[in-house]
Amino acid sequence: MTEIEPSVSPEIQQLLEATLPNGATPKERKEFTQGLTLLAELLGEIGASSGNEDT
Amino acid sequence: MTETAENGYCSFSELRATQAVRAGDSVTKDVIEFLDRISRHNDTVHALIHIMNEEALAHAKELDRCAPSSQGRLHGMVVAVKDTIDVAKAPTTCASFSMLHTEPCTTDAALVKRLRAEGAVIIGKANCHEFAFGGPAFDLPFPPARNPWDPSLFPGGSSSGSAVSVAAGFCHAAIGTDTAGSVRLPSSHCGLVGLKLTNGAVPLDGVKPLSPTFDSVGPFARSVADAALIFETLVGTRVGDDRNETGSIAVPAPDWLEAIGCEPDVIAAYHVARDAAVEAGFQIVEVFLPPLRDIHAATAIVMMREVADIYSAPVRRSFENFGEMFRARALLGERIPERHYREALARCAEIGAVYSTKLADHDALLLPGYPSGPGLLAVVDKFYFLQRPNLNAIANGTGMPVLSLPILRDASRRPLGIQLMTLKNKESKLLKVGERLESKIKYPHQLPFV
Repeated sequence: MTEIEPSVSPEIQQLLEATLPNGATPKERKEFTQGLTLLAELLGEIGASSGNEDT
Repeated sequence: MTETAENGYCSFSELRATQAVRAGDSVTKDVIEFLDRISRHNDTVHALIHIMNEEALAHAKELDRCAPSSQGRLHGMVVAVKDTIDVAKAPTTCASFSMLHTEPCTTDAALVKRLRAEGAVIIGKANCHEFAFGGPAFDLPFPPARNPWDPSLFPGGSSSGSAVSVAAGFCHAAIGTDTAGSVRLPSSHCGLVGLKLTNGAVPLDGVKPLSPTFDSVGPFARSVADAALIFETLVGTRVGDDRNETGSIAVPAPDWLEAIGCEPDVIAAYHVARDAAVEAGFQIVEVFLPPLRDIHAATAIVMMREVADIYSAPVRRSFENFGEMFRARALLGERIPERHYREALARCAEIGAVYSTKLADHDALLLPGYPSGPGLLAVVDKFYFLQRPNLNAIANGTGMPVLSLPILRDASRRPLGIQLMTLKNKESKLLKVGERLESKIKYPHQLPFV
């Protein structure tokens, strides 16, 4: 499996490996990591607005 | 197509007004003129990806043989259809390598059947972003459509080719889809009237889904009257002849508007529209709206999850057959838990109720067309729509209809527009408001090139 970024946590690395197929380029993996971060923020906002902050 | 002085040209309705009944070979002549123009300019603007020369000419000849008494309300209107919508005898590719070798459709989408039944001629399939999910991208089977006012500029999307077809003078009108602004953004960037219909107002059989909760369709046209004709045909209702000269238009409070971060030219266009509304007899009433951020998270989560539900499995099966942008988005949505999806849907409904209350006493809500005018055509960040709130998402999240109107062209000839939003299923009212503003604004509809 392609190495992502040294700064990426093991949890994100694991998620990337589970989500992106082998054909994904390193650039795609890096951008996908950013997408996961942005999505996590939005999920947090929805969780907070409905009173469930655990995301 | 009839050109007038100074490179201007008539809308379909203006043309019809001068010809009580279209007779002789007028439809065929129009189609030939449009095809000639397409042959000269389509390679520059990439508006159409499948041109239906023979089919359009055959249909035009058939219409020219039609007795005046049996001519439909769209008799001779030449229309381009976004390539996510089925048109018989043409493949639906969704601008994706994954669909490129699809067989031609055997039937029309339900909405295309309605257009044809009233005498519309389909001239071709319009370019778009892959599966109608915002771009542009340069790794798709077709080069991205370009803005006819300056081919170095983005024309908006995802119904890019539909808008460019009308603006470039390739047809009288076009049909697009709108899940997060895909009719309104290209209308604003190309200087057209656009109508995003109420979610669910038109059956979407034969339209490739993106996010079924938010998907809707609508026309691009050169006048409100043309958009009204298409609306009447698609929905099966009449706009009516209300000559009301009063009413009120809601505008957001200044701090709400400021938070969007509009360019100065966009604000200038907004104020032109506001002044025109006053001149047309509307009272302007400030309303306090929920922060845009409130609907941003909810709409982004619903859309991403629904895209993943439909497309993540096909993307996994043939990853290389999808563009980088689309495949990343389709897979990202898999990470959205069901509970959050449900919460996001509920949040959209709550915000929809707030907007319904705010707009209940007004004819429409006036909003900028888009925070910025058309910028350079370039690859965008895959997840830009997750980062910043999208003004256009309000109407998709609430299900409300929106009419886009062109207002002005700036010093660089870039078109800028505004949006008028109203309560669900009140398109007729919206179109009447639009006509009143249009008559005061007098946008100079012109061909961008000869």
